[in-house]
Amino acid sequence: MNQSLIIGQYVPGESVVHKIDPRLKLIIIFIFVIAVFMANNIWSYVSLYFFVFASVALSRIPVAYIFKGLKPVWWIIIITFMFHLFINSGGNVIVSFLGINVYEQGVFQGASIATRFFLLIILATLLTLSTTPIAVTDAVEALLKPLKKVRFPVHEIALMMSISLRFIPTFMQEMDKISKAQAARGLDYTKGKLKDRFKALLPLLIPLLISSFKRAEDLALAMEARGYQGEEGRTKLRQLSFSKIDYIVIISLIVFLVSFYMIRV
Amino acid sequence: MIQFDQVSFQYKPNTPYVLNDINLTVSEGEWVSILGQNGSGKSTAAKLINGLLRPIEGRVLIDDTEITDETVYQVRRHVGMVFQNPENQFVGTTVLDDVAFGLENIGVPREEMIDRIDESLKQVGMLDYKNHEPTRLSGGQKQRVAIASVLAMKPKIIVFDEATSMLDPVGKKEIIETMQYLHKHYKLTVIMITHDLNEAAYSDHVITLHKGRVWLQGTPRNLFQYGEKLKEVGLEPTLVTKVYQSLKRESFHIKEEPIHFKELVDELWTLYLKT
Amino acid sequence: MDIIFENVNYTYQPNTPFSHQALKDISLEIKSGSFVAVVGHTGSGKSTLLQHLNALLQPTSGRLVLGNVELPGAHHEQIKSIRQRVGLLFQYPEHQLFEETVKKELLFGPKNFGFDLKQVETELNDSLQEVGLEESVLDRSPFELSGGQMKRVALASMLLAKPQVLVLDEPTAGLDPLGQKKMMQLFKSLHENKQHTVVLVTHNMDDAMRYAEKVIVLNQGTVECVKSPSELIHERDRLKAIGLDVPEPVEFVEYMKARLGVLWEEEDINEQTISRTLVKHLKGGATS
Repeated sequence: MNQSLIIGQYVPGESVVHKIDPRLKLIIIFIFVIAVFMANNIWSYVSLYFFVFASVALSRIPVAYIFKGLKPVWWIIIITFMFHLFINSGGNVIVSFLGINVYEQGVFQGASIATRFFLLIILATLLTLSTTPIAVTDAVEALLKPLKKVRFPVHEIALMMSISLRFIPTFMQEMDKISKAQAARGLDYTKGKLKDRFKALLPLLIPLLISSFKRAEDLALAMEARGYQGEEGRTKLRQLSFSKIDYIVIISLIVFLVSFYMIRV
Repeated sequence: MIQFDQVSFQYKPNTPYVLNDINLTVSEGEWVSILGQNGSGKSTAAKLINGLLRPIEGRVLIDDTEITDETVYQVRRHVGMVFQNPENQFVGTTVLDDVAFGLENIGVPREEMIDRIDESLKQVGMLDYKNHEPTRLSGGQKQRVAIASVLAMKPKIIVFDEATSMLDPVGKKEIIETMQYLHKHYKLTVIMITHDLNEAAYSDHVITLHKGRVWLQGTPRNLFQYGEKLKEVGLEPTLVTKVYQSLKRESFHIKEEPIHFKELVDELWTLYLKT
Repeated sequence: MDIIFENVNYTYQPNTPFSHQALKDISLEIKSGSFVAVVGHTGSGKSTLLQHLNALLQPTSGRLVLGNVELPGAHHEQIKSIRQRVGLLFQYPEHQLFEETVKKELLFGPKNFGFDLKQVETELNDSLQEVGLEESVLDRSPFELSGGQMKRVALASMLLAKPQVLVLDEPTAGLDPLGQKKMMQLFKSLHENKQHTVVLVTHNMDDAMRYAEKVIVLNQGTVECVKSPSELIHERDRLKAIGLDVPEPVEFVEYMKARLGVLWEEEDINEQTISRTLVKHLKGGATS
């Protein structure tokens, strides 16, 4: 299994961040997305950095662990930065080499866009590391509830999310078994032309697809046998409720947002 | 009480009947095994008991209530089902969520749900695993969670549809022991679908299906008497039966067909060696 | 080809918090042409060991000799030749069947190993017969077949690649009793008539003791013991202690000894020897 991809891997813990109501976490991320795009001077960016790293510190999840999860996206951040650095030609020239001029505004714009990207990913990673997938699902369901009035299938979507989460490890194991079974039959998908490699994927994908259908069928039967008949008349074991921590977080958030707004130009 | 009244079933029109004119009755509190080789119709019969499938002809009654579109959800509260594949019936992301799923479906209030979950997990010995994810459980443990999920709904009948066939010997033993305990403790009616004669030996009655028809209905002893003839319906006579048969050929006689080697050996001791 | 494990260790995900050593200092030998069983409960390392036989996994340390190839350190072509010479039949045929027809499915392995397909096509019917399938399945989709038939297709497709060693992973799982017996007898005849080396990996002690010449017992990643079935009969307590099933015939004999004072003199334990001993004992007991 891919160890560098840690998004979605919950790290159990008892920190304040772990204890925040998942609905509130989602709302904070939503507000943060807006805030990130409203930042317009160096101090507002500094305050966003402060916000994100204060959250990371409170979560007690090692920073190194979170950064490891960033590995696959580092180069996107760097390219974004470079792109703006060389394209934007506002303000004074800071340095110039090999006939390419780097302008003041290029640096600022590159840095701010890379920062936005960077901070959003850190915060999203923090969410998944400090919240169980099922809690995220519950929060999504709760927050989307108003949409039920317009017949949006909120319950079904939440159920689909939780079942997908449940079966991801199963699929990983199955994929491993299938690829070994085919390797034993001499299948080689690491060599040859691109077309051949693509063709070599079929012996993996078809058994996976067929077994997924079989699983889906079995699962549907099991759900039916346990009396599932849609959302109507259903109760819920998992109930979300705000605790003292959440109210403190809300107050701190308001204080932060007001100061953030005043720092901006 | 379970009653099949002239039940026939086919999966699609113009295909052979999987079940053909089945009549049978299971009384409350009984342990009944339904035996047969792959393709004999035994799993289909299991799915008819809680209305996952409906007969093409005939009726299935649970406690004198015929399973219809109107009654099916009510019936399912009384008839729990444990399936073959431990992985594919685990709905929840954790043990706790999985047991809760059925209770949520039938609208059990949250407070009561918590008690019922703890109680049923305790009964199958899985309480310590409450917050575990399915990937961290063995096959036998997953099946025990499946049993707890069914048990929490307080059924009168539990149908085990080849629930041990994908498990290793340790897992098989775990499940059989859990089944026996629940049968005794809750006076549950147990229907066990299996092709293992040794497993069927525990039951009060056995129903053997062959090609969609009832081939034999009786006690395990009745069934074991068939000896080598069991091969005709794809079953394998047990070791004790084989030994018993060859003793009979050597004219050693025991009054009852033994269903376990201990029974045979004890009987031999009493008859021939006791002084 | 002989198979030799020399101090083989295998660790999953080494140097991570999830690191887990599945094989610990395994040394054993599987002689060409023999029929051995590898038994152990879930987590004993038997599935890891099985994957080594086909170079799907390679020792983290130690040495594994598969005929003329040595692991670790073999190059790509050598590994491919191992996979051709060691056929691996997995527990679930569903994990490998993917073609539109049984015929294409059968040719898949030989094609990958670079066989002359014209030649292989002439062998298809014989091979179907060998595994007990009708010719008419050739044009059918493998997905329409029953579980037992799928397993036979997987087996035939493996045999067509002309392996010398057959590694069988729980080959009777999911079959009904009669199907199980037929399947095991099929392996027995392949072993006897074609001199295939057979490695049966299973938790079914009955099968292991009935068919294998040697039984390798694994426990927690180590070799607990290597014994012939007739020696293993006396290891009842040891098997129990490591969570293995004691085969029913052995329990039967133990109970006869304890209850009736039977003297066990036979080499093998099966229904014939049990009946014979009982008759002898009862006749003796009845007359004295």
